[in-house]
This record gives sequence, C-alpha cells and structure tokens, in this order.
Amino acid sequence: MSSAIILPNIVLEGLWPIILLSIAASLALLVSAFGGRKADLPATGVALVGLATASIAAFTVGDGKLNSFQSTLLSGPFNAPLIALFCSAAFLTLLLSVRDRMKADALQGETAAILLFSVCGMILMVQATDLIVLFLGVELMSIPLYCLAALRKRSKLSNEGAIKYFLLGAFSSALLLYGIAILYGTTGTTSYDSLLGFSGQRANYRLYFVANMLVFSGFFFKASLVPFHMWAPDAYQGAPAPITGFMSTAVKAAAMIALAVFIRTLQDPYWNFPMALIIIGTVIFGNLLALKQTDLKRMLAYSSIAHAGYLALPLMGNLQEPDNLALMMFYLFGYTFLNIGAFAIIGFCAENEDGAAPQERLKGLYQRRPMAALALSIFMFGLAGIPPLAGFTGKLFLFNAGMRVFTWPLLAAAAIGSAIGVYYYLRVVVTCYMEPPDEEGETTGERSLAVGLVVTICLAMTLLLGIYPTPLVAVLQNAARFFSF
Amino acid sequence: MDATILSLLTFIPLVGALLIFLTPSDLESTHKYVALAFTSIAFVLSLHLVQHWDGGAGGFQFTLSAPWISNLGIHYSVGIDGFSLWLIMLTTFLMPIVALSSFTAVEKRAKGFYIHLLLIETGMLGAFISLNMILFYVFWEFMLIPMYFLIGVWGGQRRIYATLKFFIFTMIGSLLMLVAIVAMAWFYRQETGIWSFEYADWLAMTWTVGQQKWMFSAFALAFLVKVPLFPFHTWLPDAHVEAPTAGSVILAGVLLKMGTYGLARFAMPLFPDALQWASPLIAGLAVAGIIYGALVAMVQPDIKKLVAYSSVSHLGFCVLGLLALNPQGIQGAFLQMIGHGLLTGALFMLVGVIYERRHTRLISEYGGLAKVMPFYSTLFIIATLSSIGLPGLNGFIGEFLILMGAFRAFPPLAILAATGVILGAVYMLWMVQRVFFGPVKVEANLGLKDLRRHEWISLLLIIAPMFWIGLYPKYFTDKMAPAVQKLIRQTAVAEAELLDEEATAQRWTLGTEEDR
Repeated sequence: MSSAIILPNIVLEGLWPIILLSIAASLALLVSAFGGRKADLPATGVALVGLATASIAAFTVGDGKLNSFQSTLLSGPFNAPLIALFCSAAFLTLLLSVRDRMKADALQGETAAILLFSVCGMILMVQATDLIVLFLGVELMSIPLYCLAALRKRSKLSNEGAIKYFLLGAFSSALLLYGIAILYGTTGTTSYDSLLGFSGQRANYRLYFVANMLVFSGFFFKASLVPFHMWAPDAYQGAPAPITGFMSTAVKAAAMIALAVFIRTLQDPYWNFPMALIIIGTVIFGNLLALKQTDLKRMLAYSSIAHAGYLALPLMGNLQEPDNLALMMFYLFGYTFLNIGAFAIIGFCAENEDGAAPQERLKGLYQRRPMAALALSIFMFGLAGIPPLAGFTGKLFLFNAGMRVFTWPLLAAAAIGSAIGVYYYLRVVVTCYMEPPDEEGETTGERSLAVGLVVTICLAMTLLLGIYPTPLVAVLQNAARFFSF
Repeated sequence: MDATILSLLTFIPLVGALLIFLTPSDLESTHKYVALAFTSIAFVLSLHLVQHWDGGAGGFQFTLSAPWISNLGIHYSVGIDGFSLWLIMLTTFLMPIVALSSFTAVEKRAKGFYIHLLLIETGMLGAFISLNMILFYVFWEFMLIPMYFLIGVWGGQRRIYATLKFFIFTMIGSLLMLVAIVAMAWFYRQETGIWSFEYADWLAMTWTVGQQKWMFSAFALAFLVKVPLFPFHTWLPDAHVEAPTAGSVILAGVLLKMGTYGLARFAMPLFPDALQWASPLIAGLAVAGIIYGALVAMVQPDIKKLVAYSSVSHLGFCVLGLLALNPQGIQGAFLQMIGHGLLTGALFMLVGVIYERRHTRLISEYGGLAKVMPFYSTLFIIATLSSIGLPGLNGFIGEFLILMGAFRAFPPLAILAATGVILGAVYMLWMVQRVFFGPVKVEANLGLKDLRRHEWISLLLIIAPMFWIGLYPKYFTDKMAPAVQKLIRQTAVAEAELLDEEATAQRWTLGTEEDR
C-alpha cells in the first residue's frame, strides 16, 4: 500500500526513434509472414516509412537533453544527425536489397526487420551514457548483422564470412563485457557521468588500465582498426553487396562515435601513444593490403579499414572541443554515401552467383553501362580524396582536426596512406574505362529503378558535401556542442 | 565585369563540357565544334584581361572574394598579376588550337575526349587565378582527373602504366602539400586566432625559419615533381609519349608551367628564408636536369621522347632563372615558360601530324621528309630553331635572360647551364638532319601528303607568336615587370641586397631604350 514500488525514471520521449523502428520492424515481419513473396514490396515500404519517421522523430525531441531510464540514455538534438545517418544508410540498403537477385530464401520482411533492429542497436549505442546500455546497443547492432551477413544461404563464401564475423564478433563482445565488468569492479560504477575523469583517482590503476584495454579492444574490433581488422575482408566479401555497404558505413559510424564518447569520458592522456600507433598501422596496412586484392569487395573492405584509421585521427585530439567531433561526423557522412554508392554499383554490375566480385567483371563497363561506370568512377575518386567531392572536404577537415594534436607522424602516415590508396581506386576506374570488355560479362541488360535511385542520391550527396559542406558542418557543430554530460 | 571576368573565364569551359555531356554520342561533329567554340570564347574573354590591364599596379587585378567555407577561412578568392596574366593567355590561346588539331586525330569516343579537354581547361585556369590555398589545391588536384583520362583512354600502348605513374607521382607531392597547407593554417590560427587560408593573409605573416623549412620542402616537392625537376622527372617521358597529341600539348604546354608558377607564386614568396637555404640544392638539380635531359634526349630513337626530354632540359632553365632572384632571371624564366609552352606545343603537334600518317615516331623510319612535305618541314625547322635558341625566335630571349640572371647569382652553375644550350642544338639539329634531310630511305614516306588545312592553321597560329616574343618581348615583359619587382622584394632577405637589386633593375629592365 505504501510506496513499495518505486517507478524508475523512464522518459519515453527520448526513445521515440527506437520505438518507431521496432513497430515498423514488427509490422514488416507480419506483412511478410502473411503475404509471403508477393508481399515483398509492401513489407519494404513499411520498413522505409518506419525509417523515415524515426529520423524525423529524432529531430523533434526538443532542444534540451533528455535523460531516460535513470540517466542511462541521453537523447537530444545532438543525436539527431547521427540517427538520421543510420536511418539513411538503412534506407538506401533496403532499397538496394529489393532487387538483390542473389537473395536466397529470406523474405524481404525478415531482411527489413533484422536491419531495423540493427539500427535500433546503433541508436542505443550513440544514446548510451552507461556502459551496460552501451553493451546492449553493441549486441543489438551486431547480432542482426551476423544474420544479414549469412543472407545467401546457399553460398559457401557467404556462410564462411558470416561464421567468421559471428565468432570473432562474439569474442570481441566478450572482451568488451569483461572489460566493463572489471571497470565496474575498480570504479564501482558503469555510468559515464561517474567515470568522468576517474583516472585522477589512482586507487587500483593497474586493474583499471587492463579494463580499459579490454573495452578498447572491443571497440577497435567493431571499428575494424588494425590489429583487430581480420574479420572485415571475409565478412565484407561474403555478405551481399548492399549489406556490405551497410556494414562498412553505419556500423563503423556507430562504433566510432561510441569510441569517441568513451575516450572523452576517460580523459586519460595515457592512451594517446597506443592510439597513435594503431592509427598509423591501420592507415598504412589497410591501404597496403588493399593493393593486392583482385576482388572488389575485399578491396573495399581494406579501404574501409584504412578509412577507419583516418576517422580515428580526431580521437587523438581534445574531444571536449565540439569541432573535433563535428568534423569526424562530417567525414562519416561523406564516407557513408560514397561507400553505399560504390557497393550499390558493385552489387549491380560485378557480383557473380557466389557473391564474389572479381574486378574483371567491370571490364568495359563504360560500354555496357556508361552511367554506372561514371558513377563508380566518381565514387572511387571521392574515396581517394580528390576535390571537389565529399572525400576531399572530409579529409581536409580531418587533417584540420588532427592538426590540433600536432602529431606529424600521424599526418604524414595519413598522407602516405592516401597516396597509396589512390592507386587501387584508380585501378577500378582503369578497369571500367580503359580495358576492353570480356566476351562473357554480364548477360542480362536489366535496369533497376531502386539501384538508380540509390546511386543518384549518393552522387548528389557526394557532390553537395564536396562543393557546399557548410550547412552540414554547421548542423554537426551545433550537435557536437551538446555532447557534454 | 571586372570582378567576375576571371570566374566567367574559368567556368565557361565547364559549361561547354556539360553541354557536350548532354548531347548524344552519335552527333560527333557537334562535339568537336562545341569544344572549339567554347575554348575560343574563353580566349576572347581572356583578351579582355590584356586590354584592361593596369600596367603600373603591382598588386592583383580583377580580384573577387566570396565566402565559401567561412568557418575555416576558405574563401573563393581570385585575382591575377603579371605572371598569371600571361600563363592564362597561354592556356586560353593553346586550347582552341589543341581542340582544332584533334579534329581528325581522335575518332573513337570523341565525346569523352572533348569533355575532358574542356574540364582540364577549367582546372588549369582555376589554378592560375586562385588566391586562396585550398581553392588552389582544389583546382590543382581536379586537373589530374581529366589528364588521367586523356592519357589512359586515348593514349598509346603503355598508356595505363604512364597515366597511373603520372597520377600517383603528382598525388604524393600534392598530399604532402596539403598537410603543409593545413599546418600553416594552424600556425596562422595560433598566431592570430582566426582560421585563414588566404594567400594575402599568409604573406603578411612572419614564419619561423624552422617552420619555413618544413613547409617549403613540402610545397617544393609538390611543385618540383610537376616541373619536373631532376630527379623527379621520371613520370614525364612516359606520360608525354603515351599521351595523345592534344594531351601532350596540354601537358607540356601548360601543366608543366603549373610547377614553376607554384614555385614563384607560393613557395618562394611565402618562405624566403627557407628559399635561401634550399636554393643552392635546387639550382644544382636544375642544372643537372638541363644537362641530363639534353644528354638523354640525344640518344632517343623516338622523336616524341626526344622532345619530352628536351622539356626537362628547358624547364631546368626556368627553375634556374627563378632561383636567381634578379629581374633578368625571373623575367627570363617567365618568358621561357610562355615560349616553351608555344614551342613544345608546336613540336608535339608536328610530331602528331606525321604520327597520324605513318603511325610511327621512330627517327629511323623517316629521312628526307623535306622533299616530300616541304611546308611541314619548314614549320618543323622553325620550331626547332626556336627550341635551340636562335635569336629572333622566343627561345633565345628566354635562355639569354636566364643565363644572364643566373650568372649573377650562381656563376659556376650558369656556365654549366650554358653548355646545355649547346647540347640542345646538338640533339635537335641531329634529329632534324636525320628526319628531314638526306635521301628518302623508306618507301612509305614517298606518298605522304603535306599539311591539311586544319593542321597548318593550328600550326601557324602557334608559331606566329613565337616570332612576336622573339622580336618584341617588351610587350610581354612590361606587363610582368611590377610582378617581378614584387617577387624580388618578397624573397629578399637582406636590405643591402635589396637596394642593389633595385639599382641594377633600373638599368637592366628591358624598358630602357639605351640597351636596345
């Protein structure tokens, strides 16, 4: 009768994006369950509507900060651009998966639902202000992805990639959890608020240090930084191209932002040196290893490893300054559209039945599909960092952010890595334009509205962010300003 | 009009490229004429610049500054001075001629060819007018893409190797320059508290010698790869030989000048102390390039490769002249730049003419061409004489001034460089003798037709200004004189030297009547 039950402080408004996505995912599942194959398009439509409304909801939380679930979730306008990014990536991926002719037996509703749940996990990751909730987000993001990577049930490559991803991912989640547990043991809390500046208290520093190391390893794995990158090429190659596009962009974005927030909480300068080594290793090795690849998806996997290295540059700086975080998010935006566009075209033109995408299949693409060749070239130039495309402005801003730390070896490594990278990006363009087509190449001349739409959106964003980045930068700077707790 | 003319000039070729892009591929003649039309429009617009040039002012003219990414201090700032004026004129003059000369040379995928031609013109003009470092960098990098396609798609046998080498060499230098640019902006912000990439702002800053040395090295590397300075020249022979004729003309005519322009505009004035430190080394490499280029050119069996190595040699002269830091040297360097653009452009077009007919460029395949194609031979020999430095043509005035200037700054190097002039005569005249004179050894040469109309029109258009520069260079040097003085002032490090320079400049500038 008395107040025996204390209701926790749940503020549901902050959760609207997740709620909407979950509802949409469930509806899509139901539509597919009752409609079967014929209901593929409606199921996708439901999911797309869910994504759109979730993005809009993210912006309407108000201009304050909302603490939900007893201050373990923080929602506000600073999260909105990121949530919009995740939803856009999922939106484009869903559009692409509609026509994915390699799709084996999964109903579109199932694919959509799994994708949407993964996006929920990502949103949790960036909203988390507590390590347990963060872990929840990581798992919620990763487990659906393990399923998505195995979408082509009959392909050996796909199964192999998915198993590798699953095993290594589970292992890294274990590391993360163990680290969180030890961290709780040494500090007595899992909340970011309390962890803020904890390193000042040197009670049990060695254990604290080990805990941090484990947590970082978990993050580095998700972000595919060297030397935790081994799973990426196989997983990316095995998954269907649209899913690879999603994995290489949204997952990396979520992991990077979560890592940034965690490093900001720690405020421990001890980690600068190891981070620097990791960045240099990632940038150089990622680019070097991509040189030898003949499979497009593996090559882009290594390229995304290298891009993770570039993205980690601002992490070396003072993350209290909103600019650093904003510039990192800007690069994520540009990189997302470039990568999804590239994978869209690769999935459409170069993938064969197993799911591999050997580069020879692009020979003479300019003759068969001139628009696709042009678009792919623009995306390749963008990833290489050539103006006036999004990759260049992103890289310029990253160098700007990295400059604040004055680490010349890092910047030199990034420059050299970019130079190496140019070669394999250009090689793709050479194959499209400068090599005569093989006799057996693509036999179907099918056109696809969905792929065209996705590519057009990505192209438009690439050009826009390259020529007129100011609006987005302003939005992101505004958002980053709120990132303090 | 004044403020917008430069932007109009730069982006009109882009509009032309878009127009060609939107027209269907089968209307081939449309593409040719649209390209010719737009490049000619750009040339006419650039004439306005010369007409309305204010000869006395030393600063930048036709300037415009519009905000772009203001929070980082990246503005769309453009303007030209005496140096960029003539380089822009060279570009807009060469492009219609290049377009005209490609009418029959490029048959397949002509649409893409003309699109890239126009895109590269936009890139080059943009780089010459930029007064903001990031804007300059954007155009500098952007130029690489159409050139990459021009060589890679319409080039010769080893085109893919050549184009990748060209792209990657240049890109490495450029990336280091980007790091340096961002570093400088950061230093500037530390001093003044604001972000700025404006050239004018950076000129006003004083940088420490340590900072200058690093920055200069990065900038110089990027520019000297482009020049190309020995030993960074290895991309040039491949790129030139494998490129289509139009590509070679643009590459040799304008792109190489980007390197020396970058030196004169950015690397030298911004870092005068570092310049003093690095100058002996670079001058030494320049002279090495002069002699090495000449010696290697002598043994080439392929005419185009011979001309490519001669470019290495000629541009070594330009760098030497620039580093001399006196009026003669700098004037000579810029005259040589413009003249070299014309004469190498002419030589490559001439080689392209016989390549189109016989599909070989080997000297051994020719002989006695003067009997078969007299008109062609005449023009070729005029271009050769210009390359050698015969007085009356443009090669002489450039080389002479450079040697004069270099002798005052580095006497031993100047003496060595002078031998390069002799070597130049050797390889060119020997090649001419083997190709044009003597008996007609090869059967196939007997039936060769002389120049067709579009060929001799484009060639005469290029060769005529060579006489103008050679006989009356004052027209060109007058407009450059204020910029030359400004550069000398900016790179001077000691007061005493400065006074001496000004006094001698009064005597030696090509304006005084007594010297003529």
